[in-house]
Amino acid sequence: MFGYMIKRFAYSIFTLFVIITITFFLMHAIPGNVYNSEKNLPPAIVENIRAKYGLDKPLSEQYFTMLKNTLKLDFGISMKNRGRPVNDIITEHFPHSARLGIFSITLCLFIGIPLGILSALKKDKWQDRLAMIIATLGVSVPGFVVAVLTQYLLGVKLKWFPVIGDKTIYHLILPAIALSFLPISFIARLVRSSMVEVLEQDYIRTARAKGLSERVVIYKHALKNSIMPVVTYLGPLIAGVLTGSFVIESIFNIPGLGRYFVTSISNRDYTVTMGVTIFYAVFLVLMNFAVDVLYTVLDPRIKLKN
Amino acid sequence: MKNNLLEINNLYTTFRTYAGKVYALNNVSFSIGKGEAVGVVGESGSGKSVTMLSIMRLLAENGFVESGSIIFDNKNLSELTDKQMQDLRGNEIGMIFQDPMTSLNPVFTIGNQLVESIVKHTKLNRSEAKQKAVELLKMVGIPSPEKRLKQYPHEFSGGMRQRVMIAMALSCEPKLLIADEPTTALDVTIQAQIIELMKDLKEKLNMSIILITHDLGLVADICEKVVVMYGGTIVEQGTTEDIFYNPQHPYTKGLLKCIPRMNMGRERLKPIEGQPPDMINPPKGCPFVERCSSAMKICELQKPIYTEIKKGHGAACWLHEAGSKGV
Repeated sequence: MFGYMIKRFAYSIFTLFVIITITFFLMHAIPGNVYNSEKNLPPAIVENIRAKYGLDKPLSEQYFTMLKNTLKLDFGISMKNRGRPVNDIITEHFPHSARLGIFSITLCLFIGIPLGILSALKKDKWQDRLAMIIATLGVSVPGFVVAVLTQYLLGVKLKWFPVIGDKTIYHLILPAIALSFLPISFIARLVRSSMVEVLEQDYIRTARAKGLSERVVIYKHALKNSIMPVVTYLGPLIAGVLTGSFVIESIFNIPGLGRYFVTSISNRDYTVTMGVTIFYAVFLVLMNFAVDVLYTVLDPRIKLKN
Repeated sequence: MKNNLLEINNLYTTFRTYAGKVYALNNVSFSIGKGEAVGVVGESGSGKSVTMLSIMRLLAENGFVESGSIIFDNKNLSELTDKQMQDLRGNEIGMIFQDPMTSLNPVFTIGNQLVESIVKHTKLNRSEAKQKAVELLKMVGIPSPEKRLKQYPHEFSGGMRQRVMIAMALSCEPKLLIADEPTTALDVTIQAQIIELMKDLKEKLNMSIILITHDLGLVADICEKVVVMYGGTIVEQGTTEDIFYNPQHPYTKGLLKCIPRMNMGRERLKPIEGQPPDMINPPKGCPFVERCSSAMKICELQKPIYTEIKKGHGAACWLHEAGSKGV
């Protein structure tokens, strides 16, 4: 286990390095610059800006400077929001994304899994059909449609929930619905298909033959065996949802990280793009590691070996 | 009759499938006394397992017991509530399945799986149940049981897993043990061990056993009575001696001819030619008619009636009906 951790850590560092490198060069390959949007800047000012952010140096030099600073966990200063360190942007805006994310993931698990179980137990009956129609809608209707629809119906028409912002848990309900509709549907389908398969296994018949109640058979014996695909999906899902969704955050006017990320790309705000990418990548790597550890907890046949 | 532990009367079981209704069991009746071992033999699809699952009320969702009664220990099983049935399963009736490799849940320890049914059916608490589980593993001959309890099924060999299954089935000292081909998936040396173990436990616990198998050697070894099934019906039943030395039904005779013997010389085994009948459109007459070498005209037209030739030994075959000779 310890050897595995070390090895895994080394791989993670390498993965991060590759992500950083590719992002850096792709970012600089996009035409345009951070001062593009300003009209007719005199060449002297352009030169000044370039010198200030080190953009006048050769790309390779910029790259190594960036690597060195990254090692020190210093992502530099935003080029667009003058004077704001990227670290500050992340610490200020990530909590907004994280709050919404945690709320959404809770919804995903507590609605998606039971929905999948219900479908599997009522296979081919109307409950299953209904759940699967909803799930199919969920995976095919884009999040922003769900967002606008819920805003209109539950917010404007019925006035049940506030339409914008994220001040209270109450504010988070609509964006969380919009953000989790797709993963809920996906999880429900995953659970349904693996549960249907597991319920036909011999050990389920054994469990019933032992006289266990249906509740124990389903929630102990069947569920632990059918939860694996969900765990696999959960790693990237948590990383993605916690770090924010640009579209949902824009629609609901939530000052999360996702919005910053996307605007930083169109603004060519190199430092912000880089910083948020690294942050996201670290998150993803950590989550994937957590998933691997969770596998061994759930299924004793899986061993972490180097 | 009053000493019978289990009595199955005129059992009909069907399955609803997309292709149509499958008549899996047609008029199955037999009984088992206390402490008695009955072998149920017949080829795949003859209805052996369906009979057992009907008893346990564990048929797949599309399976239904249409009519007939199953009386266990003076209780009509079809009248019990689901809850009562759960209390009975694993407690008064234990069951062992064919494939030990897939019959244990891979993600729980052996101890967990043993303890849960003990706790469910007895008044023991978890630590007492654990003690009991250790004793059970010892009884079925698993070395260092304390250590083994903490292990998962994949850390056991096939034979060891089947022992665990037996320990599990016996955990609440059932009155009846249903063993559905308990040795089919095991290699021969392990088979012998498992059978010895079952014989031993039968004596010790005075338990009744239904042994489902297509291995007639096994039946001769531990069973007092034999039920021969074919195409969802019982074609012959009797004591083990009756069946082996005085078989009445052509199918039973055929089965016996399929067993290799030490003194056979270069003679060939005689397989029973043909296929079992299609149970969606069961034949009007005797299900065995197409494969029977002594088939008569009446066999195609009408189902033979089960008749006893002496107490406890009977067959369903027109050959034994005096009036049907030569028809």
